[in-house]
Amino acid sequence: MQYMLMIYEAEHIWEDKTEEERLTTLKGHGALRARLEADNVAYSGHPLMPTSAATVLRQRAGAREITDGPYAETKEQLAGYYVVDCPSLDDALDYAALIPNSNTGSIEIRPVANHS
Amino acid sequence: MACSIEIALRRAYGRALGGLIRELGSIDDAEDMLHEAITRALKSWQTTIPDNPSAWLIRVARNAWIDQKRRETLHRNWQVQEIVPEPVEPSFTYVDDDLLRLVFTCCHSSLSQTAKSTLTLRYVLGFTSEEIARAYLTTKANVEKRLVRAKSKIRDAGIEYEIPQPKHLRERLESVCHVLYLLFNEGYSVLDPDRDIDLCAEAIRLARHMARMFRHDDDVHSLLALFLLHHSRVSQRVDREGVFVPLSEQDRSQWSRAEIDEGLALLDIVFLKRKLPGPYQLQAAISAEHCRARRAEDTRWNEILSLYAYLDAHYPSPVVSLNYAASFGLSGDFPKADALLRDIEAAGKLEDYPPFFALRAYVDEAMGDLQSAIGFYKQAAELAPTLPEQAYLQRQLNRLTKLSLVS
Repeated sequence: MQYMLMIYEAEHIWEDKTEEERLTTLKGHGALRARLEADNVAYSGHPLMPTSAATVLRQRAGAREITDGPYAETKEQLAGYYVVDCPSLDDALDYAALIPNSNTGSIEIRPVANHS
Repeated sequence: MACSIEIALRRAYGRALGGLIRELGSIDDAEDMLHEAITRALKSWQTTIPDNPSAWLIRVARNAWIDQKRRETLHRNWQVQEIVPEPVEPSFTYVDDDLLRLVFTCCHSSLSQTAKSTLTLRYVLGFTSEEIARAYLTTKANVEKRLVRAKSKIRDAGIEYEIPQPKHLRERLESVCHVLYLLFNEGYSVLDPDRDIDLCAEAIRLARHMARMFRHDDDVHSLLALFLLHHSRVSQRVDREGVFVPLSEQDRSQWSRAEIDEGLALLDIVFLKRKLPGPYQLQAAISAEHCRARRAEDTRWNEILSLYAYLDAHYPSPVVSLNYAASFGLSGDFPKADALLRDIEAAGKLEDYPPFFALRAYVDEAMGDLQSAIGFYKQAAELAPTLPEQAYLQRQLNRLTKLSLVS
């Protein structure tokens, strides 16, 4: 079953990190990837650019509304994601716990919908 | 005797369902076939109730499932295929593993608290939707909706029907303990001696099972001790006229000695380990102090106050603060009780909590402020969640009103 692990974190946390701290975080993600590969789990994942680069699109009554991205720096924003293919929720939770940002933000775990 | 058949059915439900889920591979199938088996049990057990009711239910349900599969296959093609699952004779450990699997699944952290409680009541403890509706003062339709939603969550989120891995066991046990604690609390706060569903007894039953399965877990044992010590007094909390009876006025000779002894013994074992005490252990120890005191005057308030101090420092909550204040009040230290109550009021977290008003009134009266006490007893009576408590508070209000007219 495919799960998306959405990484939510207040944006200032990454910004406030030193070079060394950022390196540690990246190494943590590397370790998660290594673990996924060792477990033979299919996955994909990307960090996202901060919300300053975001665009929001809505359609209401046929008209397109495009605005710049969500604001609030202190509120948790989507910072990146993984999609992992594993047998159960408990397995997905174990991988989510290996995401370094789980210590400073929140990880939302949701199954990918199967519309086949 | 319909009564004992129903009880036997309820007791056997969780084990039977657990075993069937494993054999048939689907919660829905297991539920449906078990329903079949129960319908037959209601007739066949009129003569005798089998020695192993859950094994009987599993066997009958399994056979009903095989019959159904045969009929479906016949319907599809003319050849009869043998679909016979391995008949597993439930040994003691196997059966308990099935029940445990069910408990852990129903208490998975990914489910909401309401979902956990409803699932546990229905599938582990075997209550019908009507019974659950009565326990939570809601409708059968609501309960069924909750069950459907909860089962969908289990299916959609991919919650596995399994006993958690050892590394997750502690965390999952915490979740189970919390559900049991809520169930017991629900039953304990009802104060209706005529109620036919004893949630406390059911919580105790499940806690006992967990304690047997997890012989070294302090939380589970402390929880069971807490339940037993509280439950020992349950018959004395409401008098013949239906009025609430506070601890200090209860007839202690009527407390259940057996439950007190068992609770104290469990607590001793946990304390002997000399590890840092957990919240259930502390609450059980406080309950134990009350149970140990032969008369209200014999209560060791110093012990109780130290226990609350520890709780307040390590596992704080607004209710802990209130009970801490209450202990000061009941032991006669009204200035301290008053000070704590003012802190609680300033923090603003117990604004509609009836016991706050009752305690405030009690302390105000003790400190000589009759008018304030009357005001707070009035509020407490208005907010009282049960008739016995309302009657008790009204009595205090009447007493003080008379006093204030005289003085």
